[in-house]
Amino acid sequence: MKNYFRAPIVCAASLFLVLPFVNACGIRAAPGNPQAAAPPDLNGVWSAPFTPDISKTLGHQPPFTPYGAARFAKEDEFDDPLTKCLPIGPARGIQAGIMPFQIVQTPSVFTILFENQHTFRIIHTDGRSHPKDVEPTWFGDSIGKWDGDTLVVDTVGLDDRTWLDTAGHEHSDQLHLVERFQKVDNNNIKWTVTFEDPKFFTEPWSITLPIARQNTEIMSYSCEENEKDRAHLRRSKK
Amino acid sequence: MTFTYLTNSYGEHEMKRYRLNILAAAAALLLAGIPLRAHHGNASYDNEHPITIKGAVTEFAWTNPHVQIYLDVKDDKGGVVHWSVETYSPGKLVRAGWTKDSVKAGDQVSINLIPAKSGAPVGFLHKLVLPSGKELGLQEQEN
Repeated sequence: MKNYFRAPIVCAASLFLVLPFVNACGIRAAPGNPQAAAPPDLNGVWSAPFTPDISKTLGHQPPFTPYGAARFAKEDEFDDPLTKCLPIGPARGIQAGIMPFQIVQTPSVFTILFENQHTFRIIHTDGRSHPKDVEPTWFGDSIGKWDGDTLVVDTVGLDDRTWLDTAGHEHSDQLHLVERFQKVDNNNIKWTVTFEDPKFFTEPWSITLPIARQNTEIMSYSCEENEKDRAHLRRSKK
Repeated sequence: MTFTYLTNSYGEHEMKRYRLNILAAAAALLLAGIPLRAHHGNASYDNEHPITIKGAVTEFAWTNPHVQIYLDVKDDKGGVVHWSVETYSPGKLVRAGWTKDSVKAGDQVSINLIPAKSGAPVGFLHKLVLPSGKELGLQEQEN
C-alpha cells in the first residue's frame, strides 16, 4: 500500500526534475493547449546542395508519362526560363537556386526569401485552405501545417513555365508539391519534396536534400542589371 | 536541449545515418567541384575544356547578374584579342573573398576559364591570379 501511494509522488517529482527534458520522453502538450510547444524555429539563412539535375538525386529519370517523356526529350537548356530572367519557382529555388535563401517565420506565415532574383515564397500557416479556383502563378499557392518538428507545405496553382531544375525537367499547371521541412538540429533541415503531376508523371516521386544553415546574409542580386551572356547561348538539341 | 530534441525526433542511429548522408553529400559536392553554371546550364560554355588566358584588364564591372572582366590578350601573331570574362554575382563573390576593388584596369592577370561554345573570346571565370600572386576563385566561405 505504501508503494501504491508513493509511486505517483515519485513520478511527479521525477517529472518536475526532468521537465526541461520532457520532450525527450515523447511527451507533448495536447493540440489546442495554450501550453503547447511552439513549432521549431527555422529563422535564418540556409542553403541546399546545388542540384541542377534532380534525376541524379533520384537515381533515375522521374516516372514520365509518354507526354512527359516526349517533352523532356526535346527540352533544351537554351530555353531555361532563368535565361530570360523569369522566376525560379518554389522547389527549384531551394534545390538549384545556387544562392542561399532566408526563412522568416511568424505564427501565421512562413516566408522564404531567395537571393536568386530576390524573389520570395509566402506559405500561410494560419490554418487556411487553398482557394477553390487558383490562378497559376510563379510560386503557386502554399499552405503549411506543423507536424511536430516538421513543417508540411502543400503548393498548387503553379505556372507551367517554371522548370523543376536546370536540366529541363518540366511540369504542367497541375503540379502539386508537398514539401517537408524537418528540423534536424539548429543548423540542419531535412527537406523532402514530392512532385505530383498527372500530365507529366505516372505517379508521385520525391527527393530529399539536406539544408544547412549558412553563416552569411542574403546579398543583393539582379538578373537584368547587366545581362550579357544570353547572346552566347547555343542550342544543344535540334 | 538540442541533444534531447534530436533523440526525440530521430533516435541516435537515425541521426548518425543522417549525418553520414550530409557528409556524403558534402563529399560528393567537393568531388564534383564548384558548380560553374550560374543559370544557363550547359548552353553557354564548354565545361569540359577550361583554358587559361593572360592579359591586361581594361575594365572590371562589378555588376549583376554576373561580374564582368574585360581584358586584352596578345595572340601568337602579335595581335590583341579583347576578351569578355564573366563570373558569379557580386553577392556570391563577396562570400568568396572578392570586393569591388579586387581587380583594377591595367592589372596584368591570369584567368582560368571555360570558353563560350560560340567560339567568341568570351568565357566564364574559374580562377583569377592577380599581379601580386593572390588567387581569387569561386569557393564561398565555409559554415
